[in-house]
Amino acid sequence: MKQLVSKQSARRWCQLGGILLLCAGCTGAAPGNGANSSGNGNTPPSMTMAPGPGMSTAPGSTTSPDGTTVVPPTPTAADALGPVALRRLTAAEYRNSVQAVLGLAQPPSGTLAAEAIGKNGFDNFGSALNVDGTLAGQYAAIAADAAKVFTVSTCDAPKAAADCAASFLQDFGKRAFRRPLTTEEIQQYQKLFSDALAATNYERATRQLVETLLQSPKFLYRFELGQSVNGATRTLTSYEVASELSYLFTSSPPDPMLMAAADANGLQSATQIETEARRLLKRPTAKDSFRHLLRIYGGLLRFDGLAKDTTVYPEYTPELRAAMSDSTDQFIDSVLWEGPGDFNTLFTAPYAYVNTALAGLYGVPDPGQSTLAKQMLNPLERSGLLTEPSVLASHSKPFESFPIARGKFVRVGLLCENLPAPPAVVPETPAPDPTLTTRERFARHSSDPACAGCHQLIDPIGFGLENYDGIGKYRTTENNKPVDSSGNITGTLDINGPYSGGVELSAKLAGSAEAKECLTTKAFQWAFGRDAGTGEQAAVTGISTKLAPAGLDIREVVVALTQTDAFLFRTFE
Amino acid sequence: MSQALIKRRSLLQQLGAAAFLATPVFRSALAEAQTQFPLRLILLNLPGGISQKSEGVPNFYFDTLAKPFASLESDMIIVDNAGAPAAAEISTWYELEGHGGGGRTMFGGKIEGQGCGGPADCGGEEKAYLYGTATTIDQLVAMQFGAKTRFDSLYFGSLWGGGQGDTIFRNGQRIKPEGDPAATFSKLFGNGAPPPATSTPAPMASALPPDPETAVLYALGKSRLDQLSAEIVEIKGIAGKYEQTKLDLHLTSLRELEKSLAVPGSAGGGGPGATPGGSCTAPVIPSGANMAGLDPATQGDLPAVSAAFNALGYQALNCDLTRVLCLQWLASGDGLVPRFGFMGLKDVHHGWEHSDQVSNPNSQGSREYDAAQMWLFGQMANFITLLKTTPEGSGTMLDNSIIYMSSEMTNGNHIHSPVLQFVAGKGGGAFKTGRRIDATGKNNNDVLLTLANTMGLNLPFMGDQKYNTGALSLG
Repeated sequence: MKQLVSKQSARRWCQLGGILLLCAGCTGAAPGNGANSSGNGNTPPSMTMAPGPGMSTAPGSTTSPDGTTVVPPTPTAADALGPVALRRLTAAEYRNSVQAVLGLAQPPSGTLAAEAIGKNGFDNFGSALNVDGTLAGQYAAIAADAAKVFTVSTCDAPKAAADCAASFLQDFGKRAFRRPLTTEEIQQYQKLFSDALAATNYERATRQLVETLLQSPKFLYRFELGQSVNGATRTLTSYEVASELSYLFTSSPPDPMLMAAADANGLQSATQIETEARRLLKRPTAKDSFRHLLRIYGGLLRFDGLAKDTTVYPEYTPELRAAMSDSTDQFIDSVLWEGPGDFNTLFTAPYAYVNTALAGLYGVPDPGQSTLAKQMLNPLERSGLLTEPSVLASHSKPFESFPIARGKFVRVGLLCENLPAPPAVVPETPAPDPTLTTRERFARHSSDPACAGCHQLIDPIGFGLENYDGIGKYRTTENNKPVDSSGNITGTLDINGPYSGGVELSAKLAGSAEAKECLTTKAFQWAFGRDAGTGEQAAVTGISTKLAPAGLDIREVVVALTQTDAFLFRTFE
Repeated sequence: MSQALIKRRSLLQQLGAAAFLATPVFRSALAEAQTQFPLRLILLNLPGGISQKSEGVPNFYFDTLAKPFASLESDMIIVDNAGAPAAAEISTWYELEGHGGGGRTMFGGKIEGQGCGGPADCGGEEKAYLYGTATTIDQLVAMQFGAKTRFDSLYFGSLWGGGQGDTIFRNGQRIKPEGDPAATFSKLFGNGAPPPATSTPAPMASALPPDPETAVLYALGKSRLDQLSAEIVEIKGIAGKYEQTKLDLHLTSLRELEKSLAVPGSAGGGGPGATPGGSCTAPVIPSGANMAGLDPATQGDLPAVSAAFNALGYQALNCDLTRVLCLQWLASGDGLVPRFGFMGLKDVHHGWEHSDQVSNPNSQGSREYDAAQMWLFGQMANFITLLKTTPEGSGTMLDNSIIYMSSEMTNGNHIHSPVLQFVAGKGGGAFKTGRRIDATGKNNNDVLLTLANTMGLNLPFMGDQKYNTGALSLG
């Protein structure tokens, strides 16, 4: 990476900006602990930036006080700017953030409302993440509990309590806000402290700061407001980029190295961003983040509460469901972090993680242990994510398989194709009949002229997965009749044609450029918490096109997203 | 001269200024003066269709679904045949899908996209979905009068079981329901563990002694919330348009938190509000089950959850913790959990919602749908009966309440036009119940406008002005 700005020059800029107090490192923090008086992140220090592949330099260069040329980054395409945003931390991100800020061994366990899962299957779209009365109360309760157990350092003479509070704010406050506090913010919180001190004592006054900072909107929201550089274009500050990166890759606030990079305003070029992205990929917590992406992709966000009719599936106990969920997580981890990490493997890996509880479901010998262990499966029966029981069960009815839901999942969820809304009144499928297979009963949808238009696009896909029952168990017969798992897929860009069974369907998907672009699109939505705009979709296509020939490394997809205009630039709506 | 009129005249003499007569504050004060007790607004959300009546059938009848309401007929006004003018006018993209579009329409009134006509205009589908809603009637009332009670409004029930039926909005921001009965109990009645079902009622957490520690806690809490509120205001000044509505909601949430601070020397809880009803004790949950662990999203919990939320909602009103309540038993489009297994019904609610109940009423799906909806009607009837059987002054709590009950769709047709609506309670004497109104040509906007203004708002219209044809006469 071409690092064109030194920490020294950054600090000099900081001093020239008249904020010596913060830059001098009152808390003993690392040099270059830059801040600005606006509270919005970095004032751009002197630097020359090398544009990344998705960013270009632009006219309008200026000369910094030290004589270095400052070239603001500019977006490649005007229509590729996403809106400024305040993205409220998700419940998981909030817990991780409290843990990180307080240095806890575990995330706080207090109640937090589960995030709503939108119609699009995502639970992290910024537009839906607000703070209603219930959530505000829950934040208050968690913050109060955290403050109670927070270990307050003593403030020994000759230091005055106010000085200790200032040091505390510069350190703890910066961790909470993910940037240094501005002078004004320090003053506000100093007043909060002194008011509390007047009523109580140093320890309680410090706890008051903790309790307040953990409910602050500057803690609860990820700021993506940027600063104006060129007309309507706003460039995210390095601190904003640091948060963007850390929550994307680790679902947690920036670690010290990332904060150091932000302090040096070193997150303003594609190269700088990529360097940090690749470092964060190696963090253990990246597993959680990518699991979340692929659970969204697999339609699994509701799986942990998925109920089945236990008169039909008596083995579907809470323990089995939990094992199914854990097994899928381990499969995802294995593909991403032990295997090649690519889309092809995600759909073709012929193994699963099995324990005693799952052995029957997979039809393999009982390993005699509760710990999940990797086990090769019959490659004619299982192949990757699509044939994971959790995925199949998620797209089934409570009491049977559901070819329509499965076909729709492949069409909409894995190929990103749109289907018209279903009609208001849907002809009922015949009730379970012990003389018929599910396929025979559902065949009506494809043959009824009123239904055929849409159902020909989805049912034949789902029929190809009829070898798996409503909880994803492999079967060759149903109601004493052989299962017909012949499927057909039409209307796609590149995988039209017949197939037989989930393994062949998975192979088709693995070879599909359309399916790969769909995953890339989902990754964009997950990364930015919104849909891609028209110009942004072009960037998505570009990433997919570039990475698909080598199998579409999912980790590289996300790294590539950090190199797009969408990552660094914003505009007001 | 009636007591109400005496109070009204006395109030007017005290107020003096004629101009005041037109203000919302006056109207609210008048409503209270007339009733002596606070006027309450309660929304009951029946997901997935409210009537088997075919379009074009002239009169409502207490059909299979609504049988549990038959015994409450004298307490209700049945508003029949109102809805959107015609299916052809259901043109905006979000209205085409009954679950979501209807959910937004049900309590907010039919509305166009507020300058945001669809995903392409709004920055994506999710945002368009939210922009497509203004503010629902409960939040309008809460915004105007919520300061009078400890909670501006309360909203209980299930939403996240795979459903799509967001129903409560404030300036385009959706509000989530409280889904955990045990947590709700703590929120309303203190942090102690909920009492076992068989115990005697526990006193509500109140009557905090005016000790110095209470004063300290109040001062710290107030100072904290002042700081947080100031930050919200500061951020709002630099945020984008959509984020500003988000921050408005956040600010409201902080103000509500402030009301929960224990004011030194007050009768606990700090928030304003009298205790007009009976004894304000924490409710005994009549389900026979311990609330701990109850979850609307868990199969089999629905009866116990319903009983718990009915009891909690009733007592919250009885104790005047709030005057605005919304109850919903499950979400429209709920497709995750077969919640009615306790009745021997196998499928998920969403499956029944798409069944053809009108033209094929004897199919298995239609029959299961009927059974589930009738059970839900029964839960609502239970709640209404709680109010009806609680004396309040010379009448009952129901007399001083406005209960609005409807659904996001007529039936399996998945449109919100026409949609059957029930108004229960006398609205503090404003409504004459025990009748049916043929509201052909009116929209649910008109019904909501009538209710909102009876609550003391002074609105010119609800939802989109173009879908308002004028308030109804319910008196």
